[in-house]
Amino acid sequence: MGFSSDDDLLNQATVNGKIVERDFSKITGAAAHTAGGWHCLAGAAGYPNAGTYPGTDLLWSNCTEQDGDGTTIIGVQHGGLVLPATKHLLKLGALCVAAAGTPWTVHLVDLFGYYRLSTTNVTGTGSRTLINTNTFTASSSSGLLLTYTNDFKNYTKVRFTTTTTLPTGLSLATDYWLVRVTSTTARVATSFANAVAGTVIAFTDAGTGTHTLNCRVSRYDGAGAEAFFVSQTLPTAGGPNLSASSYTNQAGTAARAFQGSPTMGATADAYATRILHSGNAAGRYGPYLPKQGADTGILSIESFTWSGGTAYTGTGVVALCLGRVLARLQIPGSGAYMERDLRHQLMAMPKVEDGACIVPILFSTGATTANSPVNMDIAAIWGG
Amino acid sequence: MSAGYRTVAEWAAAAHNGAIIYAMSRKVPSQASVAGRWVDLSMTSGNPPPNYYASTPLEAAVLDPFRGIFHGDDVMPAHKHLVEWTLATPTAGFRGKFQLLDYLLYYPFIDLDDLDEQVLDNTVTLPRYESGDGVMVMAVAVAPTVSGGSFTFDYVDSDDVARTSPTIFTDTTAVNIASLAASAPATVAGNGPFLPLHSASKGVKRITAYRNLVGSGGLVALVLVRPLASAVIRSGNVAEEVVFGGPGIMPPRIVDGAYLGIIVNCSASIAAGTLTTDFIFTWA
Repeated sequence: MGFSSDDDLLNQATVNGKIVERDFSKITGAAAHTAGGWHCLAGAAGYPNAGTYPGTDLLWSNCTEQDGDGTTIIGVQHGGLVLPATKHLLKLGALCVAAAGTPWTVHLVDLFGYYRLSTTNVTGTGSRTLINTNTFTASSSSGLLLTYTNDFKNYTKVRFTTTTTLPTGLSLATDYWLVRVTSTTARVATSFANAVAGTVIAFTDAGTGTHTLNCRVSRYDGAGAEAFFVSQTLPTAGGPNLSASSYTNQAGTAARAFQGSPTMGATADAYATRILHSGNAAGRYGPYLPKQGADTGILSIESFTWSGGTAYTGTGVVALCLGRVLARLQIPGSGAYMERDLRHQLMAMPKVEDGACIVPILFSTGATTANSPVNMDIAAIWGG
Repeated sequence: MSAGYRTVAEWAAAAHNGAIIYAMSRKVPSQASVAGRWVDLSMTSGNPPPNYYASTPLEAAVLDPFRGIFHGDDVMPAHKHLVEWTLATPTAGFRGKFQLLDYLLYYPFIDLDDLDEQVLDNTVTLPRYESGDGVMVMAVAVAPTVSGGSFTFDYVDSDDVARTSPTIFTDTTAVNIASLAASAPATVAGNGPFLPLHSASKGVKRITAYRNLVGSGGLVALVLVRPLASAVIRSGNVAEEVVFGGPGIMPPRIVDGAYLGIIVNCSASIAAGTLTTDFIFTWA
């Protein structure tokens, strides 16, 4: 799929109407940005609406265009499902009007999902073990119904393992998608499109032995995935270091570790929407955590430890996010609308997978005025 | 034969074969505006003549397409596309982002003081983009507001689901006629040109009711629009040209009967300023 020629591209847009343009607008944030910081605007007011990284602490929370974060549609609506065609970005435009803070950089990110952290998972100094797996039992309820412990989001992508035999209809080393029924149950679809359509696997038997579902990042099989911590609610004080971590890279190699012991922002740099390890202070990295060796992507994160520095206090909420950068754009000054031609400029026409939850993140060179509007627009086209 | 351009050659041939129309607009707003707010230039003086959203209060109405930016007659079964848009101004306030919109439907004279629910009449329905997909809502001041209000509205979205908008704040200082009443930057009203919708909505098919939570004085028209294209003026006295189909963006389709108008995110007051724009449309 894709486009075989300029003729094909033009034909798909003007004859077949397989093109969508979307305008969206966020504010920079309720608090003024401090200089040199990156901010995930998924949590900022505007349209699409602000999300709050809802869900169960430490649990993988899948995000999609269709269901957002499970509570709020936080991603830009880019036209829905197109498979077997492929959808591509044609352009990205952005305008920021702010009294101070210029210049800015926008990254358009497909947010795969996040691990929510609150209370002692923010303030603690021990290792936090993240939840990517659950054991489950199978039964019949309008199809094969899985029952497990945690509240996985709708359309979470999974693979299954078992000690003996999986229920009929499920295979090892094969991708499936959960169709959430309740906080502890889901049906299973064989494709994302089937999950959205509600087409699920029928019940034949419950299999034998102990079965486990293993979450996988929603799109690109983790290729190009980046990780970042975002503050949703400001911790009262503190600023710990990421002293240990374990993730599985895009090739499936486990026990990889983020590098460099990045320092998380203290009170002044840990306000809502801030990517905690960005900024001008020593020990900051941004916007994405440095991966190990030649790793180019992440399949899942298993654990991390914040220690050293100063532990956070209070009742902060933080999300450890996974996403892939689709496009980048520089905004040189306030009021200067900038546009990136993604048809001709490398990286040309980045692919947008079905279900992509597209959110902007923003870099502020200088201290940026609170509540300043960031107006953005995209065009996406698909063929086939 | 399909409508639209199957090849680049067909696209080029459209103009050669005479399926092309040039149009222009010149606007000289009389209304003062504020830096960073969006302004609806369909309400301003010049060519085409101003539109005042004047019809029976609270009843959905449509605009006459021949009183918007002229784009020729109907071309169905062909498809008409905007292929070039040029903008120029000598006025500092006009430096900013512009959006070309298809004005689909409006609800006139919504009172920003009345704390009772204002029920809207939908005898007239969307004339284009009937599903509502991608259709956005603007709140255009048609009588100056005081400031500091908030409201919600009920609507049916493009999935035919009845929704209520989140609470929307109007600007924290007075909004003059033709400015968008919930678009002030650096405030809680900084929504941009379009009103925020329920998180599951992709567009609006019709608005059924409006409620002030806190009155802010004045009157607005709620206008359903379909964004078509954007452009920018970065400097005065220099023409800015957008060639569609060249860099990045495909030529947007102009549906027969479209009422075309422009909104601008101005960098200072545009009162008594001058904006000249011209367009090239082709069809196949």
